[in-house]
Amino acid sequence: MEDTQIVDLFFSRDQQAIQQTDKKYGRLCYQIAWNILSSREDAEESVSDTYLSAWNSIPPTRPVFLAAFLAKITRHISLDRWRKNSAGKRGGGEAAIALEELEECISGGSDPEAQLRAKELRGALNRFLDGLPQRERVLFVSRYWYLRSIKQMVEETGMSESSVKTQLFRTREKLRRFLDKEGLL
Amino acid sequence: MKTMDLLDSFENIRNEYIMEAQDMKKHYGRKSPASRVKFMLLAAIIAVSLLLVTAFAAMNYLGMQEITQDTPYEVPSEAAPYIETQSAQATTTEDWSCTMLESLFDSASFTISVGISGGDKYVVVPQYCSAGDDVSEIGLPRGQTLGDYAAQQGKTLLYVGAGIQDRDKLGIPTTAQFYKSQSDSEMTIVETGQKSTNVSVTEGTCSVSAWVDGQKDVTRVELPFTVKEAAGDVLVYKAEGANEVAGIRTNSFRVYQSPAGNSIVFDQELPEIVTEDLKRMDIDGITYAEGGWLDDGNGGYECRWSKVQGNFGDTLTLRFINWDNEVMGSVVFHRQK
Repeated sequence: MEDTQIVDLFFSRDQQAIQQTDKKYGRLCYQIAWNILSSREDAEESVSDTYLSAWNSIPPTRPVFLAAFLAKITRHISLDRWRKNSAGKRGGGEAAIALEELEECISGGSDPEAQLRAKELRGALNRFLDGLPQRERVLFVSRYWYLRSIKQMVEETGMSESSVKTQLFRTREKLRRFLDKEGLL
Repeated sequence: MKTMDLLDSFENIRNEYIMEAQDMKKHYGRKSPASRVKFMLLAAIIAVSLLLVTAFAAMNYLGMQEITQDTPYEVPSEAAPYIETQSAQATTTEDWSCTMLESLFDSASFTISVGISGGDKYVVVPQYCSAGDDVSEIGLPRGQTLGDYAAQQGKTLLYVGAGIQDRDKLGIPTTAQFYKSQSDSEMTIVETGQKSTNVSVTEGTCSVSAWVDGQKDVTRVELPFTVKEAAGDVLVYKAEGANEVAGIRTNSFRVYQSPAGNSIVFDQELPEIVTEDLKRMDIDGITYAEGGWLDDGNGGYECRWSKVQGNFGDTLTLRFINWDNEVMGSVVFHRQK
C-alpha cells in the first residue's frame, strides 16, 4: 500500500492504519528498536508505542516521509527506554557503544552554557551532513542514527570491519573539528 | 555538552538522510550511488568536494577552465570571453594569503575561483581532510600522512575552504567544490552552482576560511568580486496532453542557454508525498551534472538541472524512471516559438 493511502487511513481513524503500517514498516521500526535496546520484549514494546504515537499524531500531522516519521518516533522512544533501563549507567546495546565513540567528538563537562549550545546542534549537524560525500554520510547515519552494529554494517556494505571503523573514525574527527569551528564544543 | 545530547541531536537530522541510509546496500551494492542522489537533494545545500590530483609543477594558480576540465562541471571554452579576472587579495596575520582569481556568471549559474597560499610556513590542505589522511589528498604519491609530511617539511597544516556568500539571497541550492593543489603550499578552490534566475548579480563576496592545525580559531577573509553576467537565450517548453506522472505534474520547463553553460528549471507541482518508486527523471539525449528540488519557501518546489548538454529540439520527452530503471511514465513537451 502506498504511504499516501496509509496516511489517509490514519486520517479516517481506520484501525487498518496500524496494521498496514506494521506490514510495511514494522521490520524497519523493530530493527531500530532492537539496535538500541538489544531486547526482544523491549523492542516490541517500543514498536507498539511508536504506532500509538503515530495514531495520536496523524492527524493533524501529515508526514511527507512516512518511513522517516515512524523511524524517528521509534528511535526517540527506544532511546528513552534505554535510558530508563540503564538508569544512568551504561547499558547494553549499540547505544552504549555509540555513546563511547561519540565522546571523541565532544569536550567533557556539562556546564549550563554547553547545555544551551546543545540546542544549536540540530542545525549544525544537518550542515555537517550536507557537506559529507553521500556514501560517507550513509555510513555515519547508519551508525549514529540507526545505531547499527559494526558487524551489521560490514554485512550490508561489503567493506571490511577495519574499513568501516576507519571511515567512522575519520568522520567523527571531521565532526569534532566542525563542532569546534562552529563554537559548539 | 554530554554525549547523550549529541546522540539525541541526531534525531533531528533531515528526513532525506534518514531515508537515504535506510538501506545501506543501495549505496554499497551494484547500483551506482550517484543515481540515487539526484532525487533526494530537496533544499539541501550539498557541497560536492572533489580533489583533482596532479603532479606539482606550476607555481601559478590554475584557471577554472583547467580545473573543471573533464568533469561534469566543465566550464566550456565558449565561456572564456566572459570569465572575469579578479584582483582582490588579502594577507592574514598568520602569514597565509588568498587571492580572488576569477568569476563567471550567467542568469542561472555561477563559477568562482580563489587561490590560497601558505607561503613557507604551511602545507595547505582541504578543510575536509585531517592530519591522519594520506598525502594523496594534495596530489603527492600515497604512503605518508599529511601530518607526518608537514612535520618532515618543517611546516604546519593549514586547513582551507572557500565559498560564495549570500547563498539565500542569490537562491543557491547546491554547489560543487573543486580543490586543486599547485604545490604543497598553494591551492585553488573552484565553486560552481546554480542561482535563482530572478536575481541579477553585479558584484559578490567570497568567504575564505582557514585554521592552523592544532589551533581552535578559524580565520575568515572576505574577498569581493565583480560580475558581468553572460547573456543568453531562454527556451520555453510546454507540456502537451497528460502531464502527471508519479503524482508530479510538470507544466513547463525553461532552458537557460549561455556561453557559460545550460541550465533547466522545471515548473512542477509536487504531491505531499512523492512516490518512493521514483528514482530520477531524464530527457532522452540530454545530460546534466546535478539535479534536485529546491524548496521555494512558499510551499512549492522548483526543480533544477545544472550543466545541461544535448540537443534542444522542437519536441522533448521527460521520462520518469523507477528503481528498476523502468520508465514509469513520460510527458511530451513542445518548444514555444
